Amino acid sequence: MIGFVAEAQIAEQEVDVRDILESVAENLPDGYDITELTDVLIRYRKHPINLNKTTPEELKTFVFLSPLQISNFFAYIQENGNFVDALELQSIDGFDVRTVQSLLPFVTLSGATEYEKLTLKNIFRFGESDLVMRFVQTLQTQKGFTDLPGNRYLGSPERFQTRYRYHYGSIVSAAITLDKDAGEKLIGKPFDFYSGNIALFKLGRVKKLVVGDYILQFGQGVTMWSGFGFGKGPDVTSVAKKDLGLRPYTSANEYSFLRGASATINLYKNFDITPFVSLRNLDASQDLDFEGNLVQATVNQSGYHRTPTEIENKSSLSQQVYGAALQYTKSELAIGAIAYRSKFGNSFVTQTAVYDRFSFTGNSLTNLGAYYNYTVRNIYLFGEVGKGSKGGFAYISGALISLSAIASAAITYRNYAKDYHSFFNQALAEASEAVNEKGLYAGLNISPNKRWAFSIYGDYFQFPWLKYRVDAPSKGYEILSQAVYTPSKTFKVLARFKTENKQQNTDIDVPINFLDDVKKESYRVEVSWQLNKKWSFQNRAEVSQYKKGEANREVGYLIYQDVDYSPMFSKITGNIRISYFDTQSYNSRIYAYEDDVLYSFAFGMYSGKGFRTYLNLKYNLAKKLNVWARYAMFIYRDVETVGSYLDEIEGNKKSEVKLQLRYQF
Amino acid sequence: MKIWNVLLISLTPFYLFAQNNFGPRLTAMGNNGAAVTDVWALQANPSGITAVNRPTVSLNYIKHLFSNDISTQALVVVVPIKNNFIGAGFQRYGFAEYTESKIGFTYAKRFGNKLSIALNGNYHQLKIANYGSTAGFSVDVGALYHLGKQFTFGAFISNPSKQRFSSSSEIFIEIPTCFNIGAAYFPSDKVLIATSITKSLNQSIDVSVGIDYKIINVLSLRGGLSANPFKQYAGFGINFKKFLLDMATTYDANLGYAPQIAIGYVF
Repeated sequence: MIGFVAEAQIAEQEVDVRDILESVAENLPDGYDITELTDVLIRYRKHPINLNKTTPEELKTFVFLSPLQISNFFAYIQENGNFVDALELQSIDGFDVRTVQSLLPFVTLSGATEYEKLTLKNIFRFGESDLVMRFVQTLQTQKGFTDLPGNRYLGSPERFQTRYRYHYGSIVSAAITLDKDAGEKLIGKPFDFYSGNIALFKLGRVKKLVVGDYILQFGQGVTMWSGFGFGKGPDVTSVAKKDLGLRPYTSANEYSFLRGASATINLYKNFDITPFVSLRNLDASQDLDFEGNLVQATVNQSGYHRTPTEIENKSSLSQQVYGAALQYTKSELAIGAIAYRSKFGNSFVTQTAVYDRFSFTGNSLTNLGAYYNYTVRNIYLFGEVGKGSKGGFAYISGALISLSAIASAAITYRNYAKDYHSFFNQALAEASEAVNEKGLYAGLNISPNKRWAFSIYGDYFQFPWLKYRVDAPSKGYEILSQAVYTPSKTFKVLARFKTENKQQNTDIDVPINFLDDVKKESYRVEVSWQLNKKWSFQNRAEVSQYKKGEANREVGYLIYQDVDYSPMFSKITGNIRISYFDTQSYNSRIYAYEDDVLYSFAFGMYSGKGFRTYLNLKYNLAKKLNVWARYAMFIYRDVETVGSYLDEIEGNKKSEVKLQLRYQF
Repeated sequence: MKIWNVLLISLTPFYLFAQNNFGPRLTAMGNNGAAVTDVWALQANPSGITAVNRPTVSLNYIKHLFSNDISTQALVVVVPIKNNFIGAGFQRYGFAEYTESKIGFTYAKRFGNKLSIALNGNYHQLKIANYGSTAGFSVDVGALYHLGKQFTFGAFISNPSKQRFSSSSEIFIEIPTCFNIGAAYFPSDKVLIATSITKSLNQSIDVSVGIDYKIINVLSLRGGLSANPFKQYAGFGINFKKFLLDMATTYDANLGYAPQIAIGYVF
């Protein structure tokens, strides 16, 4: 009986987390590791945060809370004293019904069981460990694994990943991540990528201390933000970043972290300082310059070490980063200043193409930045300015306005110089890097009641200098509008329209390239319904259009049907998708998020013509042991090969198997 | 320079009065004239003047793109008499050698609390130096419906009968015919969100969204977006005692800024 209740609790916990992840998954940037987000939410579900003892930093980790809501939360406590009932959340300015519903499972009012006594015995008795092991393999043989004379994958086709995480209350945490990508060698050196860290929190004046791999996120991402930041999405408040400062690194991404040591120390009253130092070896493709020195133009961020060239480039560039961030936080105001220096073993040079003229050159760079955020009544103002030692300024400034209980607006203006340099730049941008861009973004969210939610935003941007495949200064705009209708907890309809207009060199053969307008539009309709306690369904239809200059329009469409089986007390849960897609070309391809193991999400790219299907199964072996299995397959029509270069497969099918084991103890 | 201006204007499509201006408040809200009530609605959905409770006059000046010469001056007056509203509007666009002007008279009637219907008659004149002048008539019709306290729906058609300038020459000068439908939503008494869909004959459909936020009693902030072509709008308004001061600007990627300012007085 107790076992049933415990299992029901676990299942319920997972559903809450999963719902939230589903709603944000699609709007995450490419490469964002969602397992971190998942971990945070699962932990809060198991150990809910105490509303009366929480801090802005803790609330910032809730992905669905906007900075304005967090600010209003603390203003409410200041005005009205401690919470007496969790439902009081509804009376906070800006906390609409949807937000409160999402937040309730993760909060409590009872004093959290704080493990104050940090002894070695307690670390083993009360600590919680989480071990995840994952195996992935593409079933068909890819070209890189065949016997090729030149460039090929030297390793085996399996992908292994092991993650171990340890938590002792909110005071100590440790993590180890081991990763071997497909194509990397297994024998000799079992894992290509190692990462680990130990973190201590709340040690008197030392608020945080991390030794090992960590990430830093300050301000709006202009000066120092490692990892990925959210970009533009249907939730217009996502344009104001929530910086979490120093955090231990737990992802498997092989580039976006710092390795060394860092701490956040409370200097005096409201002043905190976060010094940091990092020593790393990055992958870079290097050549000899005229003087016989090794130089490089870019850093490889993929983390792949499969082919002889990739292995040669591995860890060829040393990087030292050291600096500090000083923050002042007091009720509605937060100000910060950052200064750091990056030093490289070999110098950077620019490529010959004109568009690269303003890239970073040399082997050392000093970055300075200052940021602020300030809440006045119902407006949250934010901004950051940054400068690199050899280049121009970059700044972003904006406001989130809670117009009424139902409507909120966001507006932000950004201006990044064409010669702004920073190796940790994740500020809001249309381009992949926040450099050489000026833009004005305005968005509106309206939720008149529990059932309806509307979003619309318009972003106008300009690129003052040339870009890759764009031989002149260019400009463009993007508009997204979305309506969601949720008449009951079991039914939801979503309609989304997005259009993006940019400029690119014409495809016509001319002596001097001129710019053509490239227009991408997509229309989406999605229906989700929960049939009963066990079964739920989701359907989506999406059409995408691509038109460049005077050429013909290229159209693509995608339809899919998802079926989900998640009964409360069952040991087995699973979901399956069947989809059909038909896109005229790679340009009209469609992306859709896909369910993956441990309710993580992957981004499927649907390009070409064919079927896509996948099946996820989860089996509860024992109370603390879970096993996942996934089988996914693409069947393309009218093609003889799938993929390109070394990933090419003979035939028209590509299937992948994934197995995962999770042990919590 | 002046000849260049003339050429520039005369070489643009012969659908004049793409310059029809809705006044700074409606312009700042993304050119949302279909369901928003304002004294300047005279130039958009004429039944929008039925929310003006006291006689109001407003004067507007717009500086257009490219040069200092091209500007618009406009004047509107609205006088309410119980449930009947009378309005007159004058607009002139251009510069010395080229002017388009329009003078119109509006009659709007409010039926009960919910429905208003209006009719607007315009006399247009086009004058080009050394070329001559020509005139034309057009009629606009509009309706507005209030659904509860929070919603307003509106629709109007300008020049449904496709009148043209009475020109004997070969040049076909048309007065644009435009269908508009829109809605306005009041999430609170300080915020107004409006949207409209516009279809001009011979042009593609345009959708726009705008917002008017009364941040404090005397100051309103406004912003808007339109999709086709993509333009951003912004503006603010000050409402102090009996004076109204509104400013707005349009930003078009290719045409730049077009700032405007209007001063009004409520009797």
